[in-house]
Amino acid sequence: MRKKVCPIKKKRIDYYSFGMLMPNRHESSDKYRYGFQGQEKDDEVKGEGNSLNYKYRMHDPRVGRFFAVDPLTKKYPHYTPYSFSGNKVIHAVELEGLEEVELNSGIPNGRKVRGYMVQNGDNLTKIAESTNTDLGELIRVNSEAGRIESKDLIYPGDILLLEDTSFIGVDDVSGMNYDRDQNYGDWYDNDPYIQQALNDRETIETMEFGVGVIMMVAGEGSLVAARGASSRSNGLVPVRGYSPSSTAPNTKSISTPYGNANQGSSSAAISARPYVQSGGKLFRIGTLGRSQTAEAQFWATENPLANPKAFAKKYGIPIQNISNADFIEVGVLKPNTSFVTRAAPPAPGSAAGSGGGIEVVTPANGVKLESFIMIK
Amino acid sequence: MDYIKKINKIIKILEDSNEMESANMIKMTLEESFTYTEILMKVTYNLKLILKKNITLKELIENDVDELIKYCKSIGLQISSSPKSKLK
Repeated sequence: MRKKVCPIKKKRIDYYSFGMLMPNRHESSDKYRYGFQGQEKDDEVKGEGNSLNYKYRMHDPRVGRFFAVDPLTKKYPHYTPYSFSGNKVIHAVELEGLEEVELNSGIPNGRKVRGYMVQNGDNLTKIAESTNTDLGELIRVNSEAGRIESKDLIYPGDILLLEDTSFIGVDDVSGMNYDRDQNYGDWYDNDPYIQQALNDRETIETMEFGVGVIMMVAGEGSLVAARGASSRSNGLVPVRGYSPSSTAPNTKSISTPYGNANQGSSSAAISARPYVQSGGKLFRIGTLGRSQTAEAQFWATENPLANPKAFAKKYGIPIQNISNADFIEVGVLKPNTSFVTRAAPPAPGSAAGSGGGIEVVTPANGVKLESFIMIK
Repeated sequence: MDYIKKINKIIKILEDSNEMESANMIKMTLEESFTYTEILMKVTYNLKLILKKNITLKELIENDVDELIKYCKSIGLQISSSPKSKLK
């Protein structure tokens, strides 16, 4: 039997670009506290919708300006300290009264990817220099396995796929074969390294097993990991010799307003340290106005949106915390910042295989945000 | 320990005792957290504060809160007893 659904209209609001309400084109319940860009309204100050609380500053959408100086004004000398969203109101949103965040930055569909064929004697630093890529960008999380796997080495002849944009979303292309893939077709056709590989019969055979983008630091001063269209059957020497450049102190515990979180003692927690130290991506999702954002201290090494169910199980959180989230932020540990890594314990009563998600606890503002994306 | 179950049990007790403000605060803390460490630290800390402020709740939830504190300790989380910043 079909269930009868009675939708309840909670609000209908049209805004001008900077968030001012369009006259006669808005209706909402007084009980609903949130307005433009999901921010809490403070209607008592200047009337309905004329004052929005952006955490660090109040915004007046009628003039499109904040009425306090930007706490990050030194970072943006080219902006007036009162500007809203950097005056970019179409493709960006305002982040907490601090700075603008461009929408869709790092979304897979818009990404540019290029290939690099690993040469004899390469190491991560050399590859980063040759490809003009940030070293941190070379270190990736395998969204499928979600953890470091030392069994996969990079060999000369491997093709590494390097993204120009920040990583977010599903990134595992290991199943891709040499037939053109609709998502990757463009660069697949245009990339000289991939074309070179396609012209090489031997490589084509191995490419059926996947061209990889996945690289990680598997241990301090040791190896990098990747999947690739490799010539490893030729017995070539794996790439080695990378040492993390960061000198983050080996911290035993991190202080939070709620107490201290100690470094996890499990091998999974300890082996995740080099990943974080070397600029590995850290993820966090939440609800605007409720969850902490840039100042947050609790981060995950995996993308919660890649597989929300599996993530909730691994990280011991209710699945609703992911499905209700309206933003995701991705960042890297700031240089020389202390941190601890911890593996989530399995919860009794839950399905086998729960727990084990690696999380990172940092001091407040210890993570440099690379992207902040609204997902709802 | 199934800490989610334990926290939900405490929320239920608070709701049944008509302590809606405290129950909602714990519920919100649970919902806005992103990792198990964040859940355990924030919820346990807030529960400690609730107990400190409201002695009548002691009989109802003290044992459960103690269990949470012990569990936190066993996995390397030391919950502070004095507030360092305002509740979030």
